[in-house]
Amino acid sequence: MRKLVPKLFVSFSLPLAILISLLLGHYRTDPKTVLEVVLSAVFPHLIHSPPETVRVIVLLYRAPRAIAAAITGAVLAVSGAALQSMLRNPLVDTYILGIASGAGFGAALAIAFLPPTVPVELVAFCFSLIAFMLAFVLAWSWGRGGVIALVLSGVIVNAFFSAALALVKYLAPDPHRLASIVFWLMGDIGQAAFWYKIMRMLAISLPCILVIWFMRWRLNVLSLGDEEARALGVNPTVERGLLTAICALMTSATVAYTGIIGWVGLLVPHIVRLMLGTDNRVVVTYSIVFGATYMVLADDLARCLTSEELPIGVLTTIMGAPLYIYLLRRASGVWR
Amino acid sequence: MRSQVGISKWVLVTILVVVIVAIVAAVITTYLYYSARPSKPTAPPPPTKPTKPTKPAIVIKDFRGKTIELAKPAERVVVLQSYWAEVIVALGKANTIVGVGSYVPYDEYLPPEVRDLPKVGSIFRGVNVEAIASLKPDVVIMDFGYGKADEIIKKLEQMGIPVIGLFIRGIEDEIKAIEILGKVLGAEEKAKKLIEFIKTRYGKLKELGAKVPESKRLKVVFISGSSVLKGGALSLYANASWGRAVEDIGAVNVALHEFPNKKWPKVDFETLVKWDPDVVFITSSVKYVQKVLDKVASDTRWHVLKAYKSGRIYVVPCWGSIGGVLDWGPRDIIGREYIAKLLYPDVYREVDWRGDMEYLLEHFYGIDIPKQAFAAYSIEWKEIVDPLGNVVKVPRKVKKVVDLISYLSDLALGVMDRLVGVSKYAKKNPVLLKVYPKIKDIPSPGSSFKVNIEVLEMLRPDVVIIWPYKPSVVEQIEKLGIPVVKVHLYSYDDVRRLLWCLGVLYGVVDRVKKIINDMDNLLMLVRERIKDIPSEKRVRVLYLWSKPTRVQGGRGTMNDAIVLAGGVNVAAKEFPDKSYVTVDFERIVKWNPDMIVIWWWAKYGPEDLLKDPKWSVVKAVKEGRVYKEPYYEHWGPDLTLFVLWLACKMYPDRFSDINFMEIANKYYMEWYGILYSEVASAG
Repeated sequence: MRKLVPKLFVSFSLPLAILISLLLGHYRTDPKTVLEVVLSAVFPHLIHSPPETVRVIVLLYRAPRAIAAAITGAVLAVSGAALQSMLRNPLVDTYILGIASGAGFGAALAIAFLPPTVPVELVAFCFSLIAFMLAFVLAWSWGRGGVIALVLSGVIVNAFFSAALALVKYLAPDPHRLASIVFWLMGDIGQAAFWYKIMRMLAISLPCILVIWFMRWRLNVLSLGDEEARALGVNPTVERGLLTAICALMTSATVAYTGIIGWVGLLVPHIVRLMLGTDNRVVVTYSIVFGATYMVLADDLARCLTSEELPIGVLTTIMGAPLYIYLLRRASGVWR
Repeated sequence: MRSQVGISKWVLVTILVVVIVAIVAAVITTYLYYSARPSKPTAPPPPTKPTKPTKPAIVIKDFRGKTIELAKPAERVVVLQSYWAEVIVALGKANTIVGVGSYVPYDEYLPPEVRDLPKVGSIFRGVNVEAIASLKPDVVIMDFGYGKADEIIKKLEQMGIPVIGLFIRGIEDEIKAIEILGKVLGAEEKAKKLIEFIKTRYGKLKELGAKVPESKRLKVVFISGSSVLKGGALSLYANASWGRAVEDIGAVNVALHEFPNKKWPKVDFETLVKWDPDVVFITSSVKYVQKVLDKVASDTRWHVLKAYKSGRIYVVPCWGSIGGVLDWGPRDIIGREYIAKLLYPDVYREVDWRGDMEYLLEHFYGIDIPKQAFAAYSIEWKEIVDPLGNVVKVPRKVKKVVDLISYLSDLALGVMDRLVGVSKYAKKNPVLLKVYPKIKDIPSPGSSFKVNIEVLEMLRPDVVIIWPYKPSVVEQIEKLGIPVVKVHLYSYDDVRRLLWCLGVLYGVVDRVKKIINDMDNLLMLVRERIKDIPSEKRVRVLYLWSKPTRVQGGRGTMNDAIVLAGGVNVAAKEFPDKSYVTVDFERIVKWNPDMIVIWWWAKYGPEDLLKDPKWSVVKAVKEGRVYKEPYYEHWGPDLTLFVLWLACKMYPDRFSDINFMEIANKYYMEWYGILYSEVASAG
């Protein structure tokens, strides 16, 4: 098997990262106790009664947080990878479809004006889907779902919802709510770190990830261009529409819970491509794994780097931008 | 291409390794930092007490030239004038006073325990000598040489009660009097400090005053405000303490030159016109400042004066109401600084009478009255201090205000009809909507972050009150020539500063005094019940903002509220200078607070924390001590009500007899004209 070492490295990094994040935190826990807690959770009869506080922290805070981060990372990375190859454009991620600004607008609306009984994530989810639908319908109505049409419609919808978001911010009835909106927009894995929320996220994103994974070879075909795809017996418009919708669905589902976390969908597939080549069958698989790893580690930084918690979206962007520049310089020529 | 990929692979591996190493390093340093932190600073050694020398009998000579001997420092004192009472308080001997003159209780700079003492009469109406005798004073301290003073002294001395007679003709006498009182009361050290305070400032005034060249000395007339109000002959300050004070600071007191032998000559208005001084100063009690100025402005005779045309008629607020700067006693020097600064603003640039007043009150009087309570008054403007400490010149009578901040305070001060513009947020305030529905019709020129300059120009307010977080907005407004009052509220003291500032700005000081008094009473009620709780038994509180991991740090009104209520803010130590800070959940577990309070406007409630299993390890959640605060405004007098609410929740057994809702209703009715129960659940 080609490139065995990097593949193994990526595969093992995920469990390692999750293990690390179980051990890390401001509350002092020694590794032995943490391991006991984990073991007792898996085999309840084997080990009994680790300290209650440590048990709660590890199982109800660190573990769900790591898992939520992993899901978010996987979703963002895989949809980024899929879109980049489908649209034959290395500069896109799912946010190009208007999802982030739609979700941001929805969340802002809920925080500013809707009663507290309406969950913010539900409104965010609905609006990010609405934004995507708009972009999608727009792209199909005038460009028959072509690559350029999709990207342009995304840009338009993005601009519209960004403006609407700014308006909601401006009209926010109280400066404190304004602050809440700003924080939501910067992303926070902590607000998704509940097992029941994770279940809901998984319920949507797991099937979507699986679908993309099973369709990963078609991405190779789609990335050749429409003519070639048709020649190979694939209807590019339909397939691209389907895959785009799936990406949008799962991204919406995660973004609604975590807030906007940028530069993961853009960066991770590039790193994977650099390591393992441009074959989408490989890229998709390892984007899932590596995206998850990247996000888990980034969230560890957000939790532990300073005494305050750092906003994860800001962190990933700050880390991502220079890394991306470096990669571009390093690998000019790898992408067309 | 493949070779490139091969190289990049190892670069990526390196990056990953670096990231992981960075994480591990960060964690290790965090652990090391917390474990290496010293557990507690070692207690300083107890201060060695200075050995007291045995006191010799006290022998002093008073201003009459009479020698008074005391076997020991006086422990029971009757004092007839408020300014001598102020000196005694400034010497730290307030507890020696057992009886006071009739006017002393009106001096608001004195502590309540002095103002509430038995009254024995006054120099003008005569005193009840028997009442004085029954108080068994070691000594009586009073003025001599006017009124019925000498008669009173004679009677007292016949009864064997020693009298210290004082009279002031200038700062030197002031200093001598403080020296004498320091000796009599056994407070020489404190007296030395007070004298030092006065002497350095007096020296500075004289030094700068001497620099004014003869040719440039302004002609000044210093008039008693009550004679101005009466409208008849004008009573002037000539060869008396304040009359000569004008000369000390480099001006020519016309009255002193015309009547070198009279203390308080009376002249008719024509004489004043003949002299036509450059500057006129008028004394007045704080209450009548505007009345005096109104009289001057409405009486057309005044308009022929050069001083009126150039706007150089000033009022010096005097005597014992808060805001009074000139009086005999320790504040005399402050009043002189006030006059000097108005007379020659450039010469006396470095003189800060407000700062000196704050210092004097804090360090000698032991009372907390901020700079913001003091203003300088002219016929055209008044100079106030905004909560940030900037001096702001506003029109003499402020009639049109755009307030982008302090909605409820304006309501409490009864000045809503003067608001011509409010922040759009004010229109959502549940109390205002109920009490003052007209708020909806007041235009909104924006917020502190974005102001519509054209609307503002149209409203043309006398002053704009604003958060200065966006300098460009402030600059824009100032460019229109509209004065800007800048506010920040990081502490309970800031709230008090704002209230004083608004009171002075709107000219409703009496109302502010009442409200601050109410606030002090509420805090006192709490303080009395919690003061004996040892620090290790204080309830450790965590305050949560818009989401459960957004906590209140050590800076801000909420932190102060927790401390004032007798609690400990668990987040204060690690985030001493933050108001809002988002933390990792584990940090909250580590703090393990006894009680959690949630912001009234938060979109979650106690039930959300109680049902979340991961919060179950936090003590407050385990014990069910998680509360959502009721509605109140964080930035006004309400804060003290919140302190009471908090204290009731923290120490229920100590406050079992307190009906919070009843008290809150009472104060809300007094402040805003609405029952608290009508708005408590708002939001």
